[in-house]
Amino acid sequence: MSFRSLGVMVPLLLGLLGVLSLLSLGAGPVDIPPAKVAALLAGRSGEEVEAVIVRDIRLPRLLLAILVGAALAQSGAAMQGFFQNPMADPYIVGVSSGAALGATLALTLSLDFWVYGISGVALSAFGGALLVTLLVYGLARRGGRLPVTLVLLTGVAMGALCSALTSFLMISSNPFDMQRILFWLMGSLASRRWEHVHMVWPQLVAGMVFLQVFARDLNLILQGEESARYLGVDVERVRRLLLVGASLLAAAAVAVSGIIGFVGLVVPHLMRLLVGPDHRKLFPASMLGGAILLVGADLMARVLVEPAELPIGAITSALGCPFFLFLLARRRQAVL
Amino acid sequence: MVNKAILLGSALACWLVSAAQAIEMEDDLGARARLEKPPQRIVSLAPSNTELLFALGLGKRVVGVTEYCNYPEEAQSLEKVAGYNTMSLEKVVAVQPDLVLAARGNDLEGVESLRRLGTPVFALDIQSVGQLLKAIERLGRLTGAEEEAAKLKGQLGQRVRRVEKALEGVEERPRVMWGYWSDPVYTAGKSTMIDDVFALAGGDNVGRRAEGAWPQVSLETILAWAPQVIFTTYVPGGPDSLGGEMARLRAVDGWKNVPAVQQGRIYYVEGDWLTRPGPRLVQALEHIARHLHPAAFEGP
Repeated sequence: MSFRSLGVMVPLLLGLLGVLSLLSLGAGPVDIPPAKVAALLAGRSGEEVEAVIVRDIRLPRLLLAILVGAALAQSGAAMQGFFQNPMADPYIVGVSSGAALGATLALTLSLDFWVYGISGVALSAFGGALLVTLLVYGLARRGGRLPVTLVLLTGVAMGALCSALTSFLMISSNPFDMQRILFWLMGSLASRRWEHVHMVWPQLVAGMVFLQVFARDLNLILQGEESARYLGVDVERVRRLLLVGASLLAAAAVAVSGIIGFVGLVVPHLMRLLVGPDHRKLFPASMLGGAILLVGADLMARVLVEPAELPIGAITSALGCPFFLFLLARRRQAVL
Repeated sequence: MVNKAILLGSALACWLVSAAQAIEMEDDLGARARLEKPPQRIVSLAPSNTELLFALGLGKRVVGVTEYCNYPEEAQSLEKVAGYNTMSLEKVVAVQPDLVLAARGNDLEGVESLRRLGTPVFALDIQSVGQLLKAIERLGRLTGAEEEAAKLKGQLGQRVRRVEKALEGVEERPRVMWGYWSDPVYTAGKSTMIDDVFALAGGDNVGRRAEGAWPQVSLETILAWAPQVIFTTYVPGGPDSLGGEMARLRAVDGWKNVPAVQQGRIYYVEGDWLTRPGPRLVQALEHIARHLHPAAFEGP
């Protein structure tokens, strides 16, 4: 059994994720001894405040980090496959710019309403991301086909338009809202609750399973559309579904976390170096890799400058880039 | 029948007594806060809130503050549970507050999380001297410090009235601007607290001529506005180097044509006084009024 096989990589990555998760539940601005954390997780009652901190503050946040990290990394892997372009990431069709515009609108208009515990900001971000994705999809469609270059350029143009509108809104907002917008744009899991977990887990899990189902077809398409067709793959349909699935996955993630960069771009590359280009392996490996990176980054976001918080997007890049550059430098071949 | 009435009456009386103990108020962000009894463990999520609480004599009940709560000095040694616009939810929860005093600029997602965890939160959004005085009264009611609040409100209100009285009959309204001489200049426009203070101090805030609360304007706009007085809360090298800065500006093209620079009427005002909606805002008002209308404050 080679190192690249899933039988080795999955337990390895799962183990790492497990260790990091325990660390993340145990560590934070408030010191809670590991024995107490274990007791609390086992359901035994502890001091009330510590139980609240571990169960209602740290646990939902950890689950969101795992879900969002996994979703972004898998979405990125699918986008890179769809566009056959190493620069592709989950935000390439304008999901992030649409979400940013939606969130900024909600923040500047002070739409501080709550629906089942979900803020107007998160809902508005999700709406913006959906709207932009649908627009790009509609504008770039030619007959039943989705030409890659057209999707790419339409996405870039829509993204730029949304960013411009976001800038206008920001410049006319007051300093309080400006601070909140900036922090949202840099991505954060600060103060997220169980309601956020409940809001996104069904979509994220469904999206991840959905993409996994098409992993084999994507492999075949990448080996040549012609031969994929002979093998019975409805190429256009699969590509459409992949694009929509990956965008929706990113949209749901962005709605609760703000814009977290790097995870969706580099984790898939990292995992391709580890498990190879087969999407049946690459998808699960990327999900685990993304979850690991985000759990680690969120832990640092919470403790490095406590009691304040760092934006998680800055940490993911600062953590992951040097490691990625190191792996790139070690590779002899020029191709990914 | 009579028994029933007595029973009902006494039940009503009990309810009234407990209702008098409990207090429910709507905060400045439209959320309701309900306190069963006067709070004993208060977390402040803004430097201005900390100053207000201490001024109301509630300093001993404050159990958590932000990293920026530097006044009064006793506040500096308290547990830090938040940054400027981010907070550590778990640190707030860990100090077990029975009231969290928030502000508009806080992480509102975190504020909502606190509410859902069962912690009463009261958020203030003070944008003018008038609102500050009202907020003091409401805060006093919420915390059971009505007497202290009435006293503080009375004292501050009197100082504001003294400024207004001194300015009675003064027709002149010097054009005044808040900002630092960078390019573009970030200044205070309509509906800001600074604008309100300038108006009370008998000034004509030139920032009102632009759109938005915090307009960023270029030097040519400032030349057109021709402010006669500039108040700054920031001087590179500290307030003591203001003289040197003014000498330097007199030689800078454009700036040397601004009336405030020509007449040497650039003044430093402590940022913590002017930009924090706390009790020291009135100090900023007095300071600014004296510099705008020195003649009105002369005399016996």
